[in-house]
Parts: sequence; C-alpha cells; structure tokens
Amino acid sequence: MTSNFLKLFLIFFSLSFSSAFAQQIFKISGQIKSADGPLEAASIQIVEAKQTIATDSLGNYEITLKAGNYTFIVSAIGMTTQKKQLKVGRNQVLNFSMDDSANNLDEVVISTAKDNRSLASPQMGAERLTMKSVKNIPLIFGERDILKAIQLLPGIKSAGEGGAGIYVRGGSADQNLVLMDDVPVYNAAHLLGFFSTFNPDAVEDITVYKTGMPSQYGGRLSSVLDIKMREGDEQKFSASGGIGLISSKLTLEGPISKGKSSFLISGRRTYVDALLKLSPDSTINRNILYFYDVNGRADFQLGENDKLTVTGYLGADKLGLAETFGLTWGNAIASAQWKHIYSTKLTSATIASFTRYQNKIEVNTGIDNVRIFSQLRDWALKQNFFWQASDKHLLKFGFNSIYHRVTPGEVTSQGQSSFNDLNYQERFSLENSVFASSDWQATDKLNIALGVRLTGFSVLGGGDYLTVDKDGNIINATTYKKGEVVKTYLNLEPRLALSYLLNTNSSLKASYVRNVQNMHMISNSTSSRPSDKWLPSSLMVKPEISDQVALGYYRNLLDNAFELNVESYYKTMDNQIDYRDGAETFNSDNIETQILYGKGRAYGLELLFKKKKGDFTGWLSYTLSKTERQIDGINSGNWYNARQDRTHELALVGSYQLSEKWSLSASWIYYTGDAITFPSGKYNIDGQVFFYYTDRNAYRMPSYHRLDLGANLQLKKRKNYSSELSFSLYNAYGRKNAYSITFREAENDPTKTEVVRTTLFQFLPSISYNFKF
Amino acid sequence: MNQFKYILMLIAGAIFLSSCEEVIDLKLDTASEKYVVEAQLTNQIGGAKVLISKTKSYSSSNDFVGISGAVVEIENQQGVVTRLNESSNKGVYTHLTLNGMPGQTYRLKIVVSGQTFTSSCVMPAIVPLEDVYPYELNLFDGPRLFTQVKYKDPAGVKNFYRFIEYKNGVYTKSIIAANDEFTDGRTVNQTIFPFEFTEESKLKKGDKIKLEFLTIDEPVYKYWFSVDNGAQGGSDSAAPANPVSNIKGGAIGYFSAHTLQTKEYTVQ
Repeated sequence: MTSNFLKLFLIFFSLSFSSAFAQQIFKISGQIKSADGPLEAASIQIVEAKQTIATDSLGNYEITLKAGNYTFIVSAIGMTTQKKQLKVGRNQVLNFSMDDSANNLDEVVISTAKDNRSLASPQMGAERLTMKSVKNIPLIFGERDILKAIQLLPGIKSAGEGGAGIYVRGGSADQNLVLMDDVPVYNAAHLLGFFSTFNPDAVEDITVYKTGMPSQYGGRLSSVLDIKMREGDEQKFSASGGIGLISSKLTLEGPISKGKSSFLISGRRTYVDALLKLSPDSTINRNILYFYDVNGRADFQLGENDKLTVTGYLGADKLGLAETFGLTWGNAIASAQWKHIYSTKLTSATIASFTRYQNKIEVNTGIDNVRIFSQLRDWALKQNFFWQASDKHLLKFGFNSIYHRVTPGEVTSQGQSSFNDLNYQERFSLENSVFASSDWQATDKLNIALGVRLTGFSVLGGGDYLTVDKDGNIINATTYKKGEVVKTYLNLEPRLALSYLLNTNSSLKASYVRNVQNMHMISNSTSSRPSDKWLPSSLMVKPEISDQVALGYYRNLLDNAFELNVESYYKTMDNQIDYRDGAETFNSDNIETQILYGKGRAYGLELLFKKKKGDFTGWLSYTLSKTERQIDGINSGNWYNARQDRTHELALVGSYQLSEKWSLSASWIYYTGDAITFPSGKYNIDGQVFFYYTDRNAYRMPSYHRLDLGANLQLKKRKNYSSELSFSLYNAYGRKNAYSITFREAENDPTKTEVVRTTLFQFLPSISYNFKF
Repeated sequence: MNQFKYILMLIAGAIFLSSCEEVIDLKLDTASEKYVVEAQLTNQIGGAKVLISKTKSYSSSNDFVGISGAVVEIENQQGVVTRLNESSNKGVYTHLTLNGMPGQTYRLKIVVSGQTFTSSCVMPAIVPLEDVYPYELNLFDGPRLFTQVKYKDPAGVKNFYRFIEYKNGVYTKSIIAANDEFTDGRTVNQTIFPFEFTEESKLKKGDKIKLEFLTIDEPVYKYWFSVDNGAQGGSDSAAPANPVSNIKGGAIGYFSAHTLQTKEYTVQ
C-alpha cells in the first residue's frame, strides 16, 4: 500500500515537474562570428543563470533557459567582450558579431566593451593575436610578421636578432607545434629566420598556448602556435597587396558561388637579390637570394550542416653563389577539412593533410658536381568531435594519426666527381593519438577542464636500428623488414585546468599539462639552418616528455580599461637531446653515436599589463625566468644554463591613434643576454692560438635592447578602394646589439688577442605601400 | 663535408649586408692551468716533435711558452721506447732520427711535474698524393684561386686526411681535414679553403704554395674536425668546446702519427 502510494506520488511529481519544464523553458541558440568567420570556443556567460558555455567548431551555441531577464556576456581570446540583455519568453536565435580588441576607429563598437579575457575559462597561458592587432606594432623588415609579434608577449622569446625562431618557457625552437590550419609546419623560417613562412596577408590570427594545451593538440613539448589562415570573402571580389622594400605581395579573393563558397589566393616574393645587386661590392651581385610563398584556400558551404575547406601552401627559399653553389629549401602543405553538424549538440571536424619539408644542396665546381637531397613527409588524418553534453558540460574527443617518412640524405653526383652516390636509410613511423577533454562548470565559480591524450609512436622498419652504449659505441645493429614494428612508445598525457572566480573582476587559475614529443630536431648552430635535421624517436632516441604546473591570477581594473595577468610555472623536461662534442651530424645512419641525452627544467614568473581603451593602447610584458639543462657528458654532468636562459625580459608596446589618418606605434624590448660559452684561457697549437673552454654557457652575452617605431598613414578610404603607407624604423636609437662575439689575433698586434662584436641591424628603416580594392 | 658548413657560413655573411664588426672589451675569467701537448710522429727521418706548454690567461701574449724538464717517450709496436730530448727551443722535444712506419701503432708517454699523460695512435698507410694545383671558383666574394689536392682514395677502407697549406713559406692557418665517407674509392679533388675570405688571403701571381698531405687515423681526424667548434674563436657554434683530444691524463692537445707528402707550385 505504502509503496503504491509512493509510486503514485513519484509519477505525479515527475509529471508535474516535466510539464512545468515544458511550459517555462526556452531554447536560445545562435552563432558567434568575428569579421572573418565563426569563432570556435568563444565563451558565453549567462549571468543570472550562473552558466558559462562555449561555442563549437562552427561558432554555434545552444542553451535552454527559463523565462526571465538575462545578461549574456560573450567573450573570446583577443576579442572585445560584448554584453547583451535579453528577455527570454520564446525560443530565440541570438547571434553575436565580435570585434578584435585592437583599437580600431573605423569600426563601430556595437555593444559595451567589457573584459576581453574570459576570467571564468580555465584556459591559461594562451594568447590570441589577430593580424589587425599586429597593425598596432611597428613593422620588422617591412613585414607584419605574426611570429615576430608574439615575441612581445611574456614567456615567448626570440631565438636571436631578427629571428623567427621562438623559445617558449624554456623550450627549444623545435619544441613548438607550429600549425597552419591544423597542419604542422616543420621549418617555419625563411632566409635563416629573418622571415617566417606566414604571409601576413593570408593569416587570420594566431593562438599561442604556453601551457594548458587542450588535449586535441600534441606532439611538441613547449607550445602550440595555432595559425589560422584567412577565409576568402564569399560576397564580393577584391584584390589587395603591398609593395615593400624587401618583398611584395598580392592577394585575390572572392566568391566562387556567391554566399556559398569562396576562394583566396595570396602570393609573396622577396627581392633581397635585387638588393644584393645594388651592393657596392661588385662580387656580391652575382648571387641569388630570394624566397616566395603561395597560399591558397577554398571554402564551400555544402548545405546547412556541412562545410568543406581545402587549403594549400607552397614556399621555397633559394640561395645561390654564382654557378658554384645552390641551396633550396621549402615546405609544401595541402589539407582538406570537413565540418559537419550532426545535431545542435554534436559537431565534427575531419582533416586530412599532407606536409612536406625539403632541402637540397647542389655544388658544381666544374670538377665536382654533387647534389644532396633530404626531405620529411607526413600524411595525417585528424578527427575532432565537439559534444555539448549539457549546459554545463562540453566534451571534445577524437583521434589523430600521422605517418612520418623521413629521407635524411641522398647524395648523387655526376661525371668525374669526387663523390659516391649514397642514400642514408629512410625512417618510417606511425604516430597515433586519441584524446578527450571535458569542460565542466562545477559550481558558479569553479570551472574544470579535464583532458587526456594517449599517444602511441611506432618506429617502423625497414633498415638497421642501432643500440649504442653511453660512450657512443655501437653495441648492436638489428635489421628490420619494411613495415615491421621496431618499437612502440606509449605515453599518456593528462591535462588538468581549474579556474576559480574570486569576484566579477578577478580569478585564479591553475593547470597541469604533460606533453610528449616524438619528432626531434637537434641543432648545433646559433642560426636556424635549413640543414637542421628532424629525427624521429628510435631505439635509442626516446620520446621527450615535459610536465608543467602553472598558477595564474587575472584581474580587470578600472572598469576594464586595464587588464593584469600574472602567471608562474615550473616545468621539467626529460629525454632532452644534444650533440656530443665534435659530433659529425651528417651521417644519419649512425647519428645515435653522436648524441647525448639528459633533462631540463624551467621556471618563471610572467606579467602582462594591458591598457585596452582609449586612443592610446598598449601593454607591458615582463618575464623573470630560469632555464637549465643537465646532460651526462656535457659540463661534467652538472646543471648548466640553457642558451636561451634570459633572467629578465621586458617588452613595452604602445600605439596611439593621432588622427583619423595617422596612427603611431612604438615598441621597446630589453632582455638579459643569452647564456653563452666564452673561452677562459688560450694556448698554442699548430702555430696559432686556440681558445680554451671550460664551463658550458657560464658567460652572458651583453644585454639586448632596442626601440622600434612605426607609423601608418591612411591615404584613401573609399568604398571600393583604400590604401595606406606604413613606415617603420627598426632599432631607432642604433643600439649595437651583439649578434655574435668572436675571438681572434689582434689585427695590429698578433701577439695579442681581441674580442670582436658583430652587430647586424642599426637604424633599419622600411616603408611599404598597401592597397585593397 | 666540412666545406658545406663553411659555405653556409659565407651565405649568412652575404645576407647581413648591414652588419658591422667592432673590437670591444670583455672581461674573461682565467681557468686553472692545464698542460697542452702537441705531439707528432711522421714517416720521415727526424719527424718526431713534441711541444709541451700550458693554457694561459686570455690577456697574456700569444707567444708559445714551452715547459722544460718533461720526460717524453715514444714506444713502437715492438715495445722499443725512444726518449725525445728537449731542443734548444724551450718545451720542444725532438729526436734526430726517429720515424714511424705506416700501419704501426705508437704510444706516447709524457711525465712532467709529477703528472703523466699518455696516448696512442696508428700511423695509417700512405695514400699517394697525385697533384696539387690552383683552380678558380666563383664563391660569394667573386672568382678566386683555390689550391686543389688530387689523390685516389683506397676503396673499402676508412681513410682520413689532413691538408696543410703554406703561402710563401707561411702557414695559412686553415685547418682542413677530410674523411672518405662520401668519396670511398674515388679520385678526389679537395678544395683548400682559406682561413678567412679576405683580400689578403687570395692567391696571387708569383705566390709559392706548398702543400703538406697527411694520412691520419680516426681520433686525430676527430681532433682536427672538432677544431671547427670554436677553438679558433670564430665559430657560430651554439656550444663552443675544446677539440676532442686523444690524450689521456688531463692534458689537452693531440698525438698524431701520420704520413707526410709534400708538393709545391707557383701561381702563374
């Protein structure tokens, strides 16, 4: 009797509950877009409901709300936050168009600007820069290079004067996952690093993750540089371009079928060789030195629920010394991406891609005619699912498979050459990962992002694989058949991030992330060299592993006119690789005999203070950090400063909108000189002076500082045509920064030794003209 | 393959048109002293020569300051020990008649101020030197004459070579060593690159060029190869280090038992 009554009560209760549900709950959905397309992972906070949700890969969101008045606060990294009041009384579509947070006079701010960093999101260590915001930074070598711009952020260090190489939180240059529309780029540098492979006209934005990488990213230890290329305009045709001192660019875009599909094609070429021809040194002008790149993209909206994107990139550098010597290198990338909406809750993105890096050296002395060729190719498939499981719960999961094929070196010669033909063993490997993450709003104040990634890296035959002892002697060489699994490395990468809202203006965040890297690059030179080699994990070369914990405090000040972020981190790195002293690096068949293994650690404090409103905007970034390595066989096995260990690093960036036509910008950077090995004595050998080295990286380069100035002049601004001039002055007060410091016999007194400092750029002006019609 | 690396460095120079060099002051530490041994044994009569010195501070004179009173001995494969005598030059130890035989292993032993340094080295077989001649090449500073060394590498064995060039009797300081990783069994024309690409280092009409052609063993090759990593002070290596020595006991330097052939020509 009692139990029947209870049943009845429960049925009645649930009926009345669900009917209440049906009467008072409404579905609010919509899309969040920027000027250039849908925004993924934008955050929508519904203040009164105490809920925060995120958009899917197509920028869509959906939430159910009871009838009532609500405040929607929509934010995305690098965008001006919007606030909107909504009276919910029916199912409704509510779309948002977001603006870049860069101060931009000619665009109307639709809604009240509020905080532009999602205080509530557990994501930390991430920054997004759009090409528009890069406009407010002085040009470098006449280019708005996005990889140079991010070096002004805390924790991201330049690899050297003018270099596009980047060190993030103590990692080395190869430990950054550089993605061009989700496809890895193996050598992101042109001309030994003075330019990046990213044509500014084809780039939409970059998102940098220094820690807390979402679990769909993996494969490199220290950072993710996720660069998205621009989508063509699907409404009208336009052409834009720029003419600069060093390079020129042209971009064409427009609809293929109006409103449904679009294309964009962008090309760039430098004429440094033309500058060489102007050189007063008549012997230099016979040389070749240029690079080009071409980006193409086509987007097709296939019905309501499907979108296809096809992208391509081709770029190459060519250096030639008269007819005697030639060096060519470059990347080629192709990808196809299909986004599909299964339901308002479940969407998917599938990417098939190919990436290739090639390097070719040709020597023709008339006696010897030899060609050395190497390349690396990846074929990859990546599947991402986004599932809005509930209002408070977003799940992402998927897999990634990459087949790597490395051709380390093929030597071919013609005629009476001194050289034999030679092919080093090709290396094959298969890298499979599955990943899942969940963004969960645990309480009103606490958000938790939990992720995990499982990576299996299979070293595949054929060929010989070596076992090497710790002195570099070969113990064993085993031959494997083609396709045979030599070894599989299985690694689990947990990722955890928490955010806690202290009040409406500030939050605390904490995170832990593990990253694993199976493609390694070892370099023993200071500049980025096209010949730097990628080496997959093998029997001896183990996966590199890093663990990082980070803690951060975020605060908006003075009605969000200012923003302050403080982050600190501690990171350990295992299975780090370096060359032995006197290593011969060309022979890749026994490269393992030339390598040492060790570990690294890095810790630091990063501070970012931004002024976001008004005619004057800008930021101050400061990094205090320490980066060390310990490798048996180097520095007597003691810990030593890594080359990129810079104690202090400061960047001050400001821009000022002087008038409607003129805008001015300036940046000043300062950093402690790199840790470096200088001699601590000398001796005589071979009838000349040799320098004597003791501790690794125990000295410092002189501290580096530099002021860059920039100005933009808007020439014409009409509906169908606009143009502007950009001026910049690199190293405006002519600081003689040391690119290198070398030692030699004194020119005027051979019994003495002298120190020579080489400075690359002082007072380097540039001007470029940009147009769009 | 060393020359490829060299050429890369030249390219870097070509891009940096606006670069400038300046002599600066820099305070450098002085590490505790170490013995420096430069020991050679050739296949020619009286070809044994051992120089002993110490490391010194960066600011001191570049002159060689020899260390007297060392006991220097070379032992051949048959166990015959020959002691070298200090010559009239302080710290330079020689022998009037001692020479080595290709294919034999030699041991070096030095006792100085209570410290003992040892090394061993194989004198490789002779590889006939075929020709030494000038050849014009166009590299980044325009056409220039380079000395070329022609020899036929023996097939199927590892060979290592060193080339020493003298211009009008003066050593050019260009350290060039080669292996046969790419040239096994070939007739090789090795280009001798200058220490620096300066106007002064160009070969001009009337210059008398002498070239010494050495066959060396692998550790000695490794020593000369790794000199490139900063020993001469001008490398762009990320981690300069001392050359990899084949001397045990804590001294730096090398012991080279090598064969020596010489050819000369005059630039026309």
